[in-house]
Amino acid sequence: MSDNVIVIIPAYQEAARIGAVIDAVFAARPGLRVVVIDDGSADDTAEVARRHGATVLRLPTNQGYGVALQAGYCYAARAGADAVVQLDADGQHDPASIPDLLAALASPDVDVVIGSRWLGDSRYPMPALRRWGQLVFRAILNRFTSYRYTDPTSGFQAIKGRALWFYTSDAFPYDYPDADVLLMLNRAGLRCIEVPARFHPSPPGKISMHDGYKPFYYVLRMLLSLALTLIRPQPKPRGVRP
Amino acid sequence: MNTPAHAVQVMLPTAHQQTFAVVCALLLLAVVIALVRRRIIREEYALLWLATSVAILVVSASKTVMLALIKLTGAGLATSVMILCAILFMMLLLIHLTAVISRQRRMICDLAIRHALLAEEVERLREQGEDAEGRRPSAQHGA
Repeated sequence: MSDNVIVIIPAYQEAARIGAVIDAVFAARPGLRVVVIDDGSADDTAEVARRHGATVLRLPTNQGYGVALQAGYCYAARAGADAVVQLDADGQHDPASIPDLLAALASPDVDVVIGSRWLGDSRYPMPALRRWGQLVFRAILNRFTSYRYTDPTSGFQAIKGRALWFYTSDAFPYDYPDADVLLMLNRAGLRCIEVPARFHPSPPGKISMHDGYKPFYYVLRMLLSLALTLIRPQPKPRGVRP
Repeated sequence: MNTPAHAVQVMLPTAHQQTFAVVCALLLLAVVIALVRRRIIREEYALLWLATSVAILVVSASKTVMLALIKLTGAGLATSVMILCAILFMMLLLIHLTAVISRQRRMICDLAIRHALLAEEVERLREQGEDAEGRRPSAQHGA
């Protein structure tokens, strides 16, 4: 894989953890460029990220995970990145797995590589409700694609080339881009594969999309999005946003 | 002679009800026009309101149109028709507003992303400018 690889990290109120994550990315593979997208944090997330050597994009207000991600992908597209790696700012995704994702992405017929917490010897504690939700998404995805996915909700991904058009397009969901994105990519003829990746448990006290009523909204929203993806016209690759 | 089971007994509004409905429709129309005139409601979003105000006015003023509507819906009371029309209009309006909000949300996301990208670019150029400023005196001194 070429050296023009950008790691994008969407972050909201992560001043306490973002520094260690950035350090771990640089340690995992020297030469990577790290871009932290500060999603309207009220704490020192942006300053800490800058101090640790990351480029920082600051969204003017809190826009949500999907918008922060898309801002990172737009930056990478403008910067002419050959590959983009996305990972979470809370340290759940172990940057030590980045070289494995990039090695798999180097294959010419692969467009997207998903880091799976369920492949290999990784042990990841997940509440029963979330586990069941993931099994449902997995069943839907595996029914309508030719690949057997194990972790369709993983946000630890590496993408390149043709996939970048989709991540910067209007079709990219701006709240919870997950299994629906994988389905869209497959329907667009892009090849998405999984490799084992190390995940760590979510840190205590973190504001999560799995708090309160959000899991129920998330499951319903994702089921609707998957259904809509199946009945919408097949997306066609086009140029990335300027 | 017995009335057939499927026959609907139509009850048209009284003159008092009709006058009240016409006054309400005129008031609604006046408010909508005033808001559009002052650009508080933009034309593209006012069309539905204007069309509805006119429709309510026509239905309220004309017994023929009211009768036709009652026959069309199978309702027995003119007031039921009016309430049904009001509910349908509200649903239409809500769908329209949801579409507008969805479009606005997408635009806000785009603007937020562009703002973040441009702010980063400005910051980078400023730093480059400051670096160049810092180097210039020593370079001139060396020459």
